[in-house]
Amino acid sequence: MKIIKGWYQEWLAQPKVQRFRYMTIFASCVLFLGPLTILPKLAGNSDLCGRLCMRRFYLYFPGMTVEDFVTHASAAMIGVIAFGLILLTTLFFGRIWCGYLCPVGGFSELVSRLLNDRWKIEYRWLPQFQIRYGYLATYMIVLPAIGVSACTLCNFITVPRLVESMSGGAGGLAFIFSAVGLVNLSLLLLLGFFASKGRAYCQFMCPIGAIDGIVNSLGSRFRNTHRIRVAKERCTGCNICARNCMCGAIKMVDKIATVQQSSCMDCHECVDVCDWNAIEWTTASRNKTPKRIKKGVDIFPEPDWQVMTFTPRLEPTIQARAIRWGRVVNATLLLGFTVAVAATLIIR
Amino acid sequence: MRSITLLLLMLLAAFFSTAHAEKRHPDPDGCFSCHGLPDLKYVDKQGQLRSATILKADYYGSLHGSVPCKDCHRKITDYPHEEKDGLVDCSETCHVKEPSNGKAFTHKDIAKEFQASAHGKGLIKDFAAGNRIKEDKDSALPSCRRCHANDPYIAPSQMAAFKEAFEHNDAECGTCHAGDVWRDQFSGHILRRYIGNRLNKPVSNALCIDCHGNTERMAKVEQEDPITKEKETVGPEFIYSTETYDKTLHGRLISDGNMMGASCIECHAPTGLHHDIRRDDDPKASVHEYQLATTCGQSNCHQGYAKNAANRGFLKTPMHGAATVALGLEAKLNELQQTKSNWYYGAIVFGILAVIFFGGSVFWWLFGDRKKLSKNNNNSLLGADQFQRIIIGTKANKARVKEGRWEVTKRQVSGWLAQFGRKSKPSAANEDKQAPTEKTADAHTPKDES
Repeated sequence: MKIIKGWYQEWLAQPKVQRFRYMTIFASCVLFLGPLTILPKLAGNSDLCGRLCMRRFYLYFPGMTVEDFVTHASAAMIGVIAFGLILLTTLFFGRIWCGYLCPVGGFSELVSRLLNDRWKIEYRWLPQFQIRYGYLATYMIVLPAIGVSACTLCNFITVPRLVESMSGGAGGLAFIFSAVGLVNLSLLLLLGFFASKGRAYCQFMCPIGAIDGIVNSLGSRFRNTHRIRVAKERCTGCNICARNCMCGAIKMVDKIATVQQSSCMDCHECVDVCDWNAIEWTTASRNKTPKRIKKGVDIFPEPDWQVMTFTPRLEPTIQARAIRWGRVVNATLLLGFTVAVAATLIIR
Repeated sequence: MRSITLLLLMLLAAFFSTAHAEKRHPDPDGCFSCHGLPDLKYVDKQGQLRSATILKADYYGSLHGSVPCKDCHRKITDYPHEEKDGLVDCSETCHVKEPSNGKAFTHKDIAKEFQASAHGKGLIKDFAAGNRIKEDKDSALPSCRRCHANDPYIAPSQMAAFKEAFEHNDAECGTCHAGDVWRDQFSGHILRRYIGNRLNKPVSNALCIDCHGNTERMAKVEQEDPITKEKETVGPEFIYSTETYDKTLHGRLISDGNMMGASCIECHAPTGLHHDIRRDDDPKASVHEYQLATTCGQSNCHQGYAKNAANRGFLKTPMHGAATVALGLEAKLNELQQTKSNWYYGAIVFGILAVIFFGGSVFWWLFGDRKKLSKNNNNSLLGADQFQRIIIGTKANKARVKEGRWEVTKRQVSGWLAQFGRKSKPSAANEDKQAPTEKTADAHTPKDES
């Protein structure tokens, strides 16, 4: 009773947008996960696999041709369409699917938020970019080549099956108590339920999230896309956003919050907790050149409020610096992938 | 004159059309004069009353409906006849002629292929109505008719499509192939081919699953080693073959109604007449490791990359991996000894960690002191310090931060080592004192030389 009362008080203490987000995740769990699985059943599926699978068709097998890719994609046509839609929304509005709708990552996040803060593993400080894209490359190239089925460590099987087994489904129980199922369950516990904020699997192992992250970070370069953006002149360095960010995308650099767009899920929590309105889910500010500068009119003394409003963008100064090994690893992986693809295309 | 020739031509046409219009279902030997009687019964050797009535509609509607009875039941010359004279051999020729080459039709090639396969000891002859039960009990292996009952010519699932096609028969086919005779004889046959393979993937899978899906029965199977001829029991991959198949993408796609998935036969008997199913350790088997590249690389399957040398591992993907099946505890232990799935070790390592966290979390939930949690700092058990240092950027305050557990153990271990050193070498302390003076002396020597 005490625990439930505590949950209720915590629920009321949550920001309004976050309460909305939790409700959309809950609704999506009801729609996507067993025993109801309303949306998959519309496509004639009982879970998120087979034709709905969004994680398999881009696997790269050495020597694969374009025709093979088309075959793989057409076997999972609904998944391909859904994946395309996810990337499209991500390009314009940020990772809405990951943060607000994904039933699998959302489920583990909700459970993790219900549990206490003490018995948690903190993964957010790990080098996310390197681990995520290192695993993506492993998942896409190495696992198919060494013959581990891509479905083996997939939480898009585990979470629906777990929910199904909790509602008494025999199929779900049969999966959970197999060897692969037990590994998956442990991973779900360690990287989901007992991870701080419950999004470690999404951050490190989810291929959809990884590709979505690339699109998110590319899209953030356009000025008219909605992203989590920081007004640096307003940031006081109180680091409340970094502490609340479930993805570990916000890092305090020189005591100013900076967002790593490839990890950010646009969940809006940093915006809700910032007392200084220094961070916002918005398009980029236009930073127009003041008309007086265009006209060449000198105003002296320059009003100090303009200094606050029109902070000039700092050009990055080129400096000699230590080798960034993370970037070296990333570049090697990407280069290896490109060479492998090019080699197979040329050899054919 | 012209009108007379026209009349003659019309008469000729009428003559030919009637002359070829034989009865489609002949009964030249008159078997139906007895077997067509509604209540033909006899008592067999076991003393059982059996019905010998053959329903005309069923027989004519079946696959062999246009084959005369005597083509298969060859030894019967007289009536009443002995039961043993009616025995059927599926590999014999019959009087139906193959239209392409004019030779008598036979299932001999299929029988040959079947006898070389893993099912090869199943019966291909001596079929009679009376020995059905005996045949099923005696032989663990399927006979011809275990899978191929004399099914209706048009399968029930194809009936709707067939009817629809048949309605267009006159309009579409009739423009070129005029004449009722031709259409009577061939249109049904061609339409059936046109509708699609009667054994489509789900149907042919159902034939395999009919036996192989029965795990109790499969557990009793004993395979014969091809070289030593010893009988061996089968592993879980064999017993749970259909369950594991359902878990793969192949099985899933087919059960979802998507024909992209591979059926049983497409991997196990892809070539020839699709009866050559062999054990996976037989080098001729399509699923033997040497043949897998060709089998997986069939057209419309993984043709682009299965044959690529860099893709060896792809061919090792377990298609019937028992790690995906939930077994009982005892069976699981046996299986661990037999197959040594590495996922078990993964499950043990991760599982113990997960259980520790689960137990700890529940314990803290019930008895934990919530007041100890800080609002401004990270409270997680693991990684909180790293989070503060790397993400938040707090510098370690030596006065505030306690000595870490790692440092404590390191200090203790070095303390023990030092103690151990002192006990074994009493002069160690003296050497330590002497060491710095020696070093300084060494440092000075090269200068002196130069």
